This record gives sequence, structure tokens and C-alpha cells, in this order.
Amino acid sequence: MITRTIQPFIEAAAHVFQTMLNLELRHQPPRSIEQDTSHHDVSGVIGMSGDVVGVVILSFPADSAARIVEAFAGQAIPLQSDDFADAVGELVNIIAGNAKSRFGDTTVSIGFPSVVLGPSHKIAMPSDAPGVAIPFETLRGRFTLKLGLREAAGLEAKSHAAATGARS
Amino acid sequence: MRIMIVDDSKTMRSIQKNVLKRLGYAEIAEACDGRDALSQVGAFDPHLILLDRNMPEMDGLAFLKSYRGRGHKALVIMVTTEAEKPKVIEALKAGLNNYLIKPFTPEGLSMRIKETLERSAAA
Repeated sequence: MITRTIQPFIEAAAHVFQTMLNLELRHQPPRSIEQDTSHHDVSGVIGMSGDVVGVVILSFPADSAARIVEAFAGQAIPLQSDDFADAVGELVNIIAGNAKSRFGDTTVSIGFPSVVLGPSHKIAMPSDAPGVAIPFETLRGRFTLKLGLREAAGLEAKSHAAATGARS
Repeated sequence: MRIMIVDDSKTMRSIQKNVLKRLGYAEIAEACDGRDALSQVGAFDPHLILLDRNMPEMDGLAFLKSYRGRGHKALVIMVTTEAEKPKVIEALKAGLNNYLIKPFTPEGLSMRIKETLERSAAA
């Protein structure tokens, strides 16, 4: 995991929560996680491809998910409903989309989100990308943003060329 | 004014619909992707379309090209996470009238609609 892809996610999460949920975020320092780490009760998952490849997971304890989704959707939504999964999926979609716009000179596509429910569920992280977890707290509860991302071959050279002003 | 919201997320459609209702718009239709939107535009005949870009079945750009190709003239604002300049230019070339990046505030959506309508009236 290259450090420069972590900060865009921290900034994107803060921006999305402030703008659409009117919630301030506080975060703890990013920490490494294992590929088979357990997640909270509700997770929104979205894939990235292109110059940055891997997976983004937005994982909540159930009580936090209920309160945060209520702030996002503007109404309480039952945890087991399709609408609840839709809201969690849209939230991770907007965060990932906003983060990729902060990557700089890269071409990155994001997939369609999926949502996993269940206590301490597991989601396979990419084996070729180090995992990182960033815990966040809000007045409506807590969540963890987990990233299993790597830069695709060639991006390092592209970034170096841009940084040094080289032309290709 | 008739407004159509095209987004695969029901939550996002609901958020936008609530803003539109607060602004006084009552004639609102919803579509879950481009194909669904194309099936509705003939009967609903919207004046304004709020269009997501990344959707399954038919995405926002494909919808826009097909919609304009059929001669429809409604104002279209793309409401999307895709903020990269080439994607914005691509959509403008396909007949897009304005762009709003997610995340947005209710005020941001309101202002973008107002701006789009004013531009159209001045043209």
C-alpha cells in the first residue's frame, strides 16, 4: 500500500460526512491489517481498477451503521432491508469516487458496491496488496475504512516523471 | 416543471427528491438506470434530468447519447462522483448542460439547478 493513497481516503471520508451527513470525523492513525481480518457488522465494499487496484471497505458496528445511515438518508431505515444496503453501498461509492479524484494524475475506475451483513464477517482482501485500517469516530457512532490497494505497474514511473517534470 | 431523477441508488434518488420537493417541484419521476429512463422520457417528457453516470444496464453517458440522438431537448445535469476533467468534457460533448459532483449539499443541488435554468433562459 503506497502511503499517498491513504490520505485521499481520509480527506474524502471527512468531506463526504461533512457535506452529506453534517458530521465531523475524527480518525486514528492508519494501521496494518491481515488479509483475513474480521470486520464489523455491516460492510460496504467496492473495487478499484486502473492505475490503483484493489478493494475499499467501509465497515460499521450495527448500532453505528443505523445512526449514520439515518443521517445520510434523512430517515431511519431497517437494518435488514434492501434500502439499508443501498444506503451503505452509496456511501462507500461516494467516498471511493471522491478519493480517486484526489489521487492526482491517475486513471482509476470504481466498480459497483456490494454490502455484507453479519457479526464479525470476513471479506477476502487482495493477497498482493497490504491491508490498512483507518478507524473513524463521529457523534453518531464509529466505523473503520479498510483499504487493500496497490498501484498498478507503471504508475510509479508515471508519478516520478510527473514529479520531476519529465515528458513522455 | 417536470424533473426526472436517474440514479441506481434509491437512497440518492430519495435525497435528491427531498431537495426538489423543498424547492417546490412536485412533478418528479424516478428511473434506476439509463434504460429505465429511456422507457419513461416519452410519456413523462421531463424539462430537467438529474443523471447519475455510473449505473448498471445503461450508464449515464450512454443514456445521454441515446437521449440526444432521439432529438430530446430537456436540460441534463450529471450528478456523479466522476470529477475527472476528461469525463466532464466527454459528457459536455455528448450534450450535457451542467455537472454536479457528489458529495453535494442541498444548497449545492439547488444552486446548480437554478444556474442551469438561468443559462437556458438566457440562451
